Amino acid sequence: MADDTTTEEPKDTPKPGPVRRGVMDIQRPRPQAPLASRPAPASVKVETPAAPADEEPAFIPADEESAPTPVVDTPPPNKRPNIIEQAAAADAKAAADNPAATHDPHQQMLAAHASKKGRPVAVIVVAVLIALVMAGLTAFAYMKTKDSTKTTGDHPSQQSAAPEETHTQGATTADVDSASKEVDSAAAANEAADIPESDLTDQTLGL
Amino acid sequence: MKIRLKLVLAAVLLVPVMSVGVVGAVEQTGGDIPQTSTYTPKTGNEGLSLQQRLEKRKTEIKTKLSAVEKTRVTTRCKAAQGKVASAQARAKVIDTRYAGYEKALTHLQQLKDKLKAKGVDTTVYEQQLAVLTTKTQTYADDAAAYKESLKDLAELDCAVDPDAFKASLETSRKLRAKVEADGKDIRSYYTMTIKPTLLSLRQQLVNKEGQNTEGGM
Repeated sequence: MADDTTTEEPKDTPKPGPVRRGVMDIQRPRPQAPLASRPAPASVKVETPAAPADEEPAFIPADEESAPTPVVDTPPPNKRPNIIEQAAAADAKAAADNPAATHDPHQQMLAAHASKKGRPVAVIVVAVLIALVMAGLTAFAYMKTKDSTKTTGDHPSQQSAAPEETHTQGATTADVDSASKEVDSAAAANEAADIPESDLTDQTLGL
Repeated sequence: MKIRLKLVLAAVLLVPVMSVGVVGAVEQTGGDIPQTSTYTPKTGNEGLSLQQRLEKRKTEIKTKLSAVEKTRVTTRCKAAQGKVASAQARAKVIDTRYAGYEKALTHLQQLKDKLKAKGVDTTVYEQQLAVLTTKTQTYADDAAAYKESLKDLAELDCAVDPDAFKASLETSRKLRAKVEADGKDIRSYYTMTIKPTLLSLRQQLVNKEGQNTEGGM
């Protein structure tokens, strides 16, 4: 316990280069000798494959290493986001290269949501079209019926002339039977029951 | 935005339903005079306003209400008018009856033409058809007049003019009885006159066909 520095590192002792970048190099041997007696390396160069060229230099000068002054190590705020951005950029590039093969679940979900969002519009359009067609058919049917009744109502002479043209072949017994049936059907009416006298009595009207 | 879209959609989907309703309503308003008819019924009050029709009925009926009767009618006529409305609705059946009579008449007239083409003597039959035509038209006229009187009865201001209410009520009663009698008359004419004639004509046709067959042999 005489020399703590030989066995234990202080908590706030700055770590070597690779540790600063958040990547621990377990291969690298820890310093065994006291920092003061240890030969100061000229520089410790850490090679990180993902490190961009414009990052701060990854070597520690000897004078910095030798000084045991505690340095508050604050990693640059843009370090981790840079990695995420790079990954996103790589994904985007991959997606651009092969747009069909999008394996990102988030993007797939977005695509599914978009397709689901588009479906109600199609349903609405179809429903509106059906409604308009039905309305058109109703109007058409009504107008056609109205026109035909108007024609027969306005020109009774024409209507009575039409059967003469179509039925000039001569009567058969079946025609007579048919007319007789029509008469029987009309004779089934009963106005006494349809419009009873009791409808207009003082009693019914409460007078 | 979504609610607005839903409202627009609902409105558009209701268009066919509403149009069917409108068509039905238009058809019903045209129910006073059957639209399929070749004959336009006459009420005898053409060109007269409601007030003029009421005055006409008052003169025709010549009933003067006593003071007591006037008070009673004035106090009770509004409720009575509501019941007249139900009689009005029931009276629409007459249109169906008239349509039936007219259809039968048209069929009988077509038969007349066919019989003529066949060389059958239709002189009597034609006379009978002329009578039946008149009867059917009378029915149509009386039915139209009855419906008009009911309409007036339901619409007039009975509290102001109880005499007009009473006169219109009496007219309606008379016309109802007339329509009933007209219908009975037509049906009686069918059974007593038209049907025997049809049987006779059928026999003539059978005889003619028999002669033709024998002639052809």
